[in-house]
Amino acid sequence: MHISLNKRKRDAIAGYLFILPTFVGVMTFSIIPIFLSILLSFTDWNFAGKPNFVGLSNYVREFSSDVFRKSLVNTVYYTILSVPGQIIVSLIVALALNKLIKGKTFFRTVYFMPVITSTVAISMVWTWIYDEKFGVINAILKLFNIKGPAWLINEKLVLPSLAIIGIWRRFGYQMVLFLAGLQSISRHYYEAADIDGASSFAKFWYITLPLLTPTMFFACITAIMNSFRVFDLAFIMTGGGPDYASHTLVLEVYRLAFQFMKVGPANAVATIMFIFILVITVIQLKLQEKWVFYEGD
Amino acid sequence: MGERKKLKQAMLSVCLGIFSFFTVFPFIWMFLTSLKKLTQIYQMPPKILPNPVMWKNYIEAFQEFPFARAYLNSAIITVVGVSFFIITSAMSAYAFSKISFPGRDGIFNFLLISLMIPFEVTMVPVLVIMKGFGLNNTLTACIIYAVFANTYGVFMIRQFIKGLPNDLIESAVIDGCGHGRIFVKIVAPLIKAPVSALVIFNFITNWNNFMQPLVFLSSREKYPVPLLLYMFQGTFTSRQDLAMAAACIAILPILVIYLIFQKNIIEGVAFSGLKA
Repeated sequence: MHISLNKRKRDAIAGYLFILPTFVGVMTFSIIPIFLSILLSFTDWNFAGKPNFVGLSNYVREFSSDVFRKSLVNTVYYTILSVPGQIIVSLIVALALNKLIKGKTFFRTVYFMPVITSTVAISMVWTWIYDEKFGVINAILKLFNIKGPAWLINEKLVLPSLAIIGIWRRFGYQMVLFLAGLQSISRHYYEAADIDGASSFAKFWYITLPLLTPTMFFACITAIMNSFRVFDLAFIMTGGGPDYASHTLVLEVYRLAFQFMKVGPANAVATIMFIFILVITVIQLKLQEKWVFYEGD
Repeated sequence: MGERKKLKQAMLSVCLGIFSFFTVFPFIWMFLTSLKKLTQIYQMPPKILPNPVMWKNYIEAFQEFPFARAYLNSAIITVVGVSFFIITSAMSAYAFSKISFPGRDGIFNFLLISLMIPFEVTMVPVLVIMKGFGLNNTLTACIIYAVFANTYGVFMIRQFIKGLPNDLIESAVIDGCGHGRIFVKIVAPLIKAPVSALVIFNFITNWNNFMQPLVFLSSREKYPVPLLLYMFQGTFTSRQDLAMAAACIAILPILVIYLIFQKNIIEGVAFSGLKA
């Protein structure tokens, strides 16, 4: 009795000591900051002096600000442009790779390459590819006697142009998820369908697609979360321009905080983003419960 | 293999091959442009191959910007950051799965909240806290954030340690081993393989990280590679040859690491959805 009590005490001390660095670190640099961010969103602080409570006025101010509304619309538009593209491209490539007998590793390695490359380097080369006068794309268009536009300086084209880079950069990641999902589908289903004389399309529609739903869902969630946080590409390539046509929510947080020292409004935007992330996460958890049965296969 | 099937496979390879070309084209173009003479770059229609081949561009890019220094900064942030990330994550993962103490699972679930908190949302308070610790404009700030910003390391390593048999640890306890020794002598060697994917992936993420250095650092001699490259691009808008050489210099180490470890990285993503 005495020994086991002693052991329990020792275990408790050891346990707390083992988690101490992580606990303190995560609290200080992740969890406390999110609460601070929410608190600051109700103040008029500007990095100096004493913060005053201003109620909801930062939120009101932001929602009536054209720039904020533009950044919100742009972020949603970018997501609508890039997420379905990513999913469709990666799914097609994964289906093709899954059928391929030789050379799978080679192609997989190539397609994943953009995922691991620095966004800054990527932005630089794509800026050059999109260049109005000397870019490759417009040079090819010229061969067909088409005068290529200024992709990144045109208000209508800038977000689609960035979304194409987004798709190019991330489809490899989703492809790997889909490949893993495809490989986990049991061969028996297809063999049974073959006996019934099912066509390739029928097999895809009635076996592959339904059994891939959980993977598809996970891929969509990660893609949405990622495109919602888009910053680097726009910041480096266009600075949010022209005339805020590629200004995104994160750019708005950055601009308000570090260009105008408006900490309150910046954190109001950040809090709005956090609420969105919370909602998506709750949806994810709810739907995951529903789909556990597939994963049991 | 039947003729029909062979033909199908060949067609599939051709399609995937064409698509591969489009995927790597930006990299090829970056490299080709980096070797061209400036007059050749601003030529329409563009010449595909560089003539003459200007390896000199690389030397000039190195001379114009302190890349050596930036490499060192990136290496410090990445190596120190990843090491502490793995050590602290493995320690808490061990505690959260094999040591029993009051409130264990509650604390674990609470810490997982951090998985929903990206830097994009907390950059202002995090910067203020870093300033409060006197860490403004230091590599330490970047390292600390890389180590503690999230708990997916703890989450993943915990999954592996949970799978280890309890007897292993209990018998060591009976032999009089403390948890520190069990962790170092028994658990650490066993999780080496699964943790390696996490190490490589974290290494790449930290090396490419742009936003935290952008927010934390203000003096150029502290910039890691991506941030220096960003400054470079801003300053040399009319020197596309040097800019592309600099971009090549910047991505080379990660590309090499990727090609060596691509199997671990891709399998890590496939089995655990490592964040990219």
